[in-house]
Amino acid sequence: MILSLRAIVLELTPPVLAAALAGVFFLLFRRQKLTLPLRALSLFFFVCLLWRLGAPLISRRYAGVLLFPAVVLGCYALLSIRDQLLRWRFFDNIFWKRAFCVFLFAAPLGLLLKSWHFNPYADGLKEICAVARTDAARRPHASTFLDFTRNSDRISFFSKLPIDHWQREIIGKNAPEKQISGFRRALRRSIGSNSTVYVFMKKSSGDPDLFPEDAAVSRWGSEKLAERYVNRKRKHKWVLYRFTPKNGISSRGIPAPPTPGSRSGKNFLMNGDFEKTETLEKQKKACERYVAGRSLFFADRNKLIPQRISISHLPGGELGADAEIEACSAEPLAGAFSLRMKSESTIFACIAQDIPSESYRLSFWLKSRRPSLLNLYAVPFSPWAGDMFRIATISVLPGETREYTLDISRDLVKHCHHFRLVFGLDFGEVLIDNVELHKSSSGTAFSRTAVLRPDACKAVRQKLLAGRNRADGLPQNAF
Amino acid sequence: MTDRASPGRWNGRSCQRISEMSEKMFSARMLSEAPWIVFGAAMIANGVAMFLNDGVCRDSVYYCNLVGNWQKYDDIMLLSPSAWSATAVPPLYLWLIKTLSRFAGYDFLTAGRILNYFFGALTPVFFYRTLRISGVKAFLAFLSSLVLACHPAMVDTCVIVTRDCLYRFLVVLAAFFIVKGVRQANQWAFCASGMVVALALLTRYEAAEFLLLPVLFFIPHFTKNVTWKLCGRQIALFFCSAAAAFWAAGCLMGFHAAYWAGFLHRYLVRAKDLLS
Repeated sequence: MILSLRAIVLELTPPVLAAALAGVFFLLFRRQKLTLPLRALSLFFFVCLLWRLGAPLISRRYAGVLLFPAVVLGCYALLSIRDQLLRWRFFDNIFWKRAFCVFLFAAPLGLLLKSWHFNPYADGLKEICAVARTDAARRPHASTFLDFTRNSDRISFFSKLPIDHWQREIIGKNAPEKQISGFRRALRRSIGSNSTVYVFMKKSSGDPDLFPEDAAVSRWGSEKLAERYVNRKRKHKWVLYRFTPKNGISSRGIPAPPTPGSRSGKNFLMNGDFEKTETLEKQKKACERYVAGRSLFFADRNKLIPQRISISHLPGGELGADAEIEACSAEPLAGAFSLRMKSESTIFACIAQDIPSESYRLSFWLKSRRPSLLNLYAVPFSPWAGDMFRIATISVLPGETREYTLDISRDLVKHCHHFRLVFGLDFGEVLIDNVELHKSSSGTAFSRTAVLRPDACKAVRQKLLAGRNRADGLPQNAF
Repeated sequence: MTDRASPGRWNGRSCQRISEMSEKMFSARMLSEAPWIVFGAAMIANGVAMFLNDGVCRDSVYYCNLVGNWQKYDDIMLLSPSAWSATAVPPLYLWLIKTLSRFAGYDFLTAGRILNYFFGALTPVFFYRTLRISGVKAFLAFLSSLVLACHPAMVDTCVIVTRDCLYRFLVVLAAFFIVKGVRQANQWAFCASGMVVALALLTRYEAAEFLLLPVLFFIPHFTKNVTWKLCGRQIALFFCSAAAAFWAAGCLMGFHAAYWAGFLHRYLVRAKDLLS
């Protein structure tokens, strides 16, 4: 109820609300007889007010309809006060008479000036976005854009860049420690694998430096690219930071030739080659969340998807009309099926297998049919922490099949017992195959890519299609 | 407050002086032009606000994306990239943006702001007319509509691309027609009011509360010796025209069965939220 009251006060503005309350008082005090329409309308708006006070309002605009009676009552109060002053012969003095007339018209004018929000620094955010866009365009690798201002939509509109939204705004000296630690965690997670990270912030003048001296961040250099005032009060600023690696480690270098036999030991993933498939019908939970006809993706329940791949509803994932996740048999990378993902918005395919929290070396084959951006996430599963850790971001151009290898540090997922691997496609179309996960002692985040020799791919495919069941003895490491 | 009100002990010299003062401030001619003055004030207020603010906020971007998806896939069910929110925003405002954008060639943001400018300027005018028909004195009605035209909550909704501006216009229009219907015993006004409420239902979900309005109007009617038959006929007229307009607008915008189901489901969810 307090929340609703606040929404109503904000929507009607305090002076108008106070005047409206005064209007109610005068109406009752003077025992005015209302006409029939006014009686009915008053009753109606009273009912509207009651349920708005009784239910929490998501947005203050829900209280917008109360503006009409409030304005009438407010003006009625003003005129009643005028009547009262006349009775007291207050307006015998011509000065006060004129002063009251001026006040009557100054009230709307004051409201008008408030509603215009005159701000000479209105273009500050636009300029910051332009700087980020220009700077990111100069860099060859994919960049990540983090927003801590709660203005992600405006930033993505102005900059036309994919913005990672962070729920909390971190501002002021007294920003709770929880928010600051959350900010640091998000930053560490993002810069763990990307070549460049841009951070949009809104800072108060005299804010402490929020960038910590811990290892994950100190390996990266931060640079303030631009800052602009938010408004004419000059109390807050939009600030754009850029984080780049100091020591030159990059997640995507020039692909090196594959190193046969580098992988050894047990593959932890059970259907990493995606040869076992099932129909979409099996994923009842996922299907039930979508009423038939609402999404084209779930329209065809006979669509084949690899076993142990769950169409995930992780935060930020959106199964649009163009989204496709399937076991693709047309031109598979190896075997009879590959995992195919296609979308214009972020979609997730989760490997539904709990993996104990250890250090691993992950490898997989990847091919894209058009420019694509693929993210790999570790999702802590037990206990559920509500976080997703980005392991790597891979920007892929159409071309030959590549093998990607990267290490997953135990430090990344140490606070949980198990985690799950998730492929998140931001946009584009990719084929994934031969996902393998081996225990590794190293805990670095270094990753490298290798080009698969076309003849090796062809040989593997021919062997598999010749009828040799991969699960029955064919070495997991195909070359 | 009203023309019909008996001033009682407020009668006399003071009231005479009030009217004299009002006449000095506003000539009768000026008050007769009040709707135009209010319209002009709203146009200026909204125009300057639009000039000073770009109107890009979270909701504007969200609405433009919704319209973009609708235009791209030409299916109302695919209004939003995520299926669960396909019915989150009733479609009338989005359809108006889409149509204006298609025929006039504006981008979605501009089209939305043009619509808001138009409806935002008309709202105080109909508000003034509604108050006058209800029996409110001219000066009070004029001052109220002027304050409404300049109120930050009104101007803000005109600047940013949200459905609130259209919704408020429809709310005032519905009240105008229903008051006209009651005061002038005009059957067509009841029909028009029902149709406008249907359009409001297709703009915001909470417009459902306006279905209560005709019923409330006839509760005081009973004390005025109005027959049950007449009341029933007028309420039936209101609801029938609302249903017809709802269906016609749905067909025009390209609804299909699944959307109806989703739309009603959404209403039920909202009702459940409210009750819990």
